[in-house]
Amino acid sequence: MPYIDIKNVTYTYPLVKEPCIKDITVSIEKGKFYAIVGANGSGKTTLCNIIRGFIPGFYQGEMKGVVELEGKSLEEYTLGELTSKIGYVFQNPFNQITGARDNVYEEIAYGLENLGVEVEIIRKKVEEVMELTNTAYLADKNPFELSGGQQQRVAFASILALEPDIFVIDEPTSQLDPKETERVFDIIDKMKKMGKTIILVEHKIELIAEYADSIIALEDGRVVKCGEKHDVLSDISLIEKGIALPQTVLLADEFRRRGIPPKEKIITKQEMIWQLKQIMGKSNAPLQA
Amino acid sequence: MAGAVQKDNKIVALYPMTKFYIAIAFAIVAVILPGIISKAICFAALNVLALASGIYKIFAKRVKNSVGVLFIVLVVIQTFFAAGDTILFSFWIFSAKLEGLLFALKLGFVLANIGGCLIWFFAITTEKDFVLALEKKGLSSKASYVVLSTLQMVPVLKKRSETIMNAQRARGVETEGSLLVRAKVFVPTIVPLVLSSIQGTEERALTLEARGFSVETKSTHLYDIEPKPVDKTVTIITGLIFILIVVGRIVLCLI
Amino acid sequence: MGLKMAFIEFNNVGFTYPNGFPAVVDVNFQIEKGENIAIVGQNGAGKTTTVKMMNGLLKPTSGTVIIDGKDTHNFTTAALSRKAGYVFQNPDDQIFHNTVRQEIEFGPHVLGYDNSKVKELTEYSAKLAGLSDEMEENPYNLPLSIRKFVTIASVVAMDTDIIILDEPTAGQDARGIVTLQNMIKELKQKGKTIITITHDMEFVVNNFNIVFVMAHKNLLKIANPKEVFGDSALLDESMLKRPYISELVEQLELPKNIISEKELVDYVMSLS
Repeated sequence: MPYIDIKNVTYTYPLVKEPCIKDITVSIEKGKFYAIVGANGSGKTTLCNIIRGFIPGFYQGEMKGVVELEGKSLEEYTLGELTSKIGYVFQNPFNQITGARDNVYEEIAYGLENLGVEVEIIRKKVEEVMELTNTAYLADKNPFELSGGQQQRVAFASILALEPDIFVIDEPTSQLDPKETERVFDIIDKMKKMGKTIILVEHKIELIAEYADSIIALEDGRVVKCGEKHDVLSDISLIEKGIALPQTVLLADEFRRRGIPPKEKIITKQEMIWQLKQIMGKSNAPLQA
Repeated sequence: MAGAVQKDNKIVALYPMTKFYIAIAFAIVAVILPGIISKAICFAALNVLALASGIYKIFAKRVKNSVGVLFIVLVVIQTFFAAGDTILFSFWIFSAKLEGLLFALKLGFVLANIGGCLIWFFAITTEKDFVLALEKKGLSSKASYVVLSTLQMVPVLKKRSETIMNAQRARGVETEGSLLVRAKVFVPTIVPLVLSSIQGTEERALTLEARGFSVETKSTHLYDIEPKPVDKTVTIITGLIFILIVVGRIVLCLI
Repeated sequence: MGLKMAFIEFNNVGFTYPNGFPAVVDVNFQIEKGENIAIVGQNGAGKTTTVKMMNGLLKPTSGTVIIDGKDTHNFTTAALSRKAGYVFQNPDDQIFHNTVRQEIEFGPHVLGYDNSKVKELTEYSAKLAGLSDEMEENPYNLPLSIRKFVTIASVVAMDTDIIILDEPTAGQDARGIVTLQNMIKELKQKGKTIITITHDMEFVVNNFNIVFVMAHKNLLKIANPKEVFGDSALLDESMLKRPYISELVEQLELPKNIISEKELVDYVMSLS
């Protein structure tokens, strides 16, 4: 049984004619890392909002179809249940600071307070996630006075503290520099290793190729390709659909055009290094998974 | 935010509601007491209270800058411009009248006492503590969020408006120069500030939602304050004194 | 005197914030008219401070900044904005009109161009930024990545000789990057001097001939992308991320002057 089942979902925002999401059917398995890719305006964020249940509730508009979590429609869950099951991290770090608390420690604890968790347990959890997100040194700082990258890590910590099984993460690094981007991906990787189900929207396709398991590729509100990352990302025709592909794939394609087709589907850097060694005759070892 | 709040001071360490009751009781007493002298004594007592709370410097400065200014303006205007027969002294076309002076002093001390009570209260109580105490008294967590986040947002918005001002200067808007020139900058600065704040509101609302803001479970407090036995004692004593004075005042009126 | 001055000149320039925090220590460089420069470096290296001194948003606390013969000390930012247009990193710090058209028209209007010129510049820069179909749209109804193009068009419409872009590729998809590349190419042909701060090294390799590498509040090196990305010591010192091809070259120990896809394929094919 799929963990999250999106069945024939079509959604139209209020006051607009054309639907933003057009008849999407996707199944999400537990514990896997999905990346949603596609051009801006292809419906990535909207799909995230649908999975989190903010659509149609928060945004109104018209939704057809159903999203099921563990066999039960999202509409049957209470707000509290959804909050503790699905965490959400947004693009803009600044807007994710609640403003309700004046230091990072309490900011991270805020969600747990709202859920009525006992203080002793809150402390324990907050300290755990601070360790995980490398935010302990910011504990006494005012969240508004942090850099974008630090705020984004505090946002991750705040959501991690709620221990959801599913993380919906919408372009978390688009405002961050490479160092901070790396730190954020490090956190996401740790989350994956903890067995969390991750749904990530991200333009940095090289990082997706390295970290994700599966890809959901969108174009104009429809799923154009969905599946294991090697199968999806090695499809060079996706470029015409406005979807960026990893440089590895472009490089592999260049070799193909020059008469050297890749022996395997190559999408990560290490796979490309293996491929290059093969071509240059430096190695005959098989590709290691 | 409140200035240096020293929680080792016994008065400062009281529960916010206790301090709030004292402030309110004090203000009411100052209003209902009859003469100028009794009100002046009240004000003197308030100064002693501020001194004992260890915040006299802040208290005196804030009182001087707010109520103090008002007091002087009131005295000058009332003394010279209010109608009255008892002329104290005259110069040029002005004459100072006793009736006006007395009225001004009375009103001035009432204002000084009310303002002073509030200043004293907020100088020894952080907004955070006060809001938390109110929340425990039944203030909705949504209302307390609005108060706290607004307080936090003010410096953030100030900083943002500077950035926006710079962006406008970079587009040829003259921001240096006469008052008129600077007034023209107002629109280009304030509009993006408001618009982007609204834009941010939607995401912040979702953020709050994602942190269980609407969940109806009774929330816990990581940072917590509880009234102590001394708070009960102080509240009772304050109440008794308050009732005594009020009753005394009514009796005086009736006789 | 009699020495020919460069279009942009930084002479022993330092900038220290009023609170005593130094952001740029001692920077010297000249930029000629029509050059395209990418400024790279970690956050805190002094990139934004440096470009803000080009249009007078910040005035150097030591040394002099000369823009087209003018010492920025003697001019307001508004006056210098005729020379150097600056697109802020965050579009929301800049946008304040109800339609894209009004937003783009604002800059040239403030600079006092006549109506027909304002119209012409507006249409031109909107087309360049791919916004022709969104002109009557409220900018805040557009996604952040498109709002960024609105701010770029607003600055391009001012028709300044210098255009400064701060992180233009952030959050852009493949199409957005292509639009940006075409814009830069066209503006370059028109003789504009374009200065771009970016973390996107692929974008640098594909679009710029001159790279300024900044680190420790200083300018470490001015060179072409080949020299910069072939210099491991420099990359390490400035903690720059290598472009993808350079990473492969580094790991496979191939010649360091290979920085483009084509060069790599050519080289590998020549071996086999």
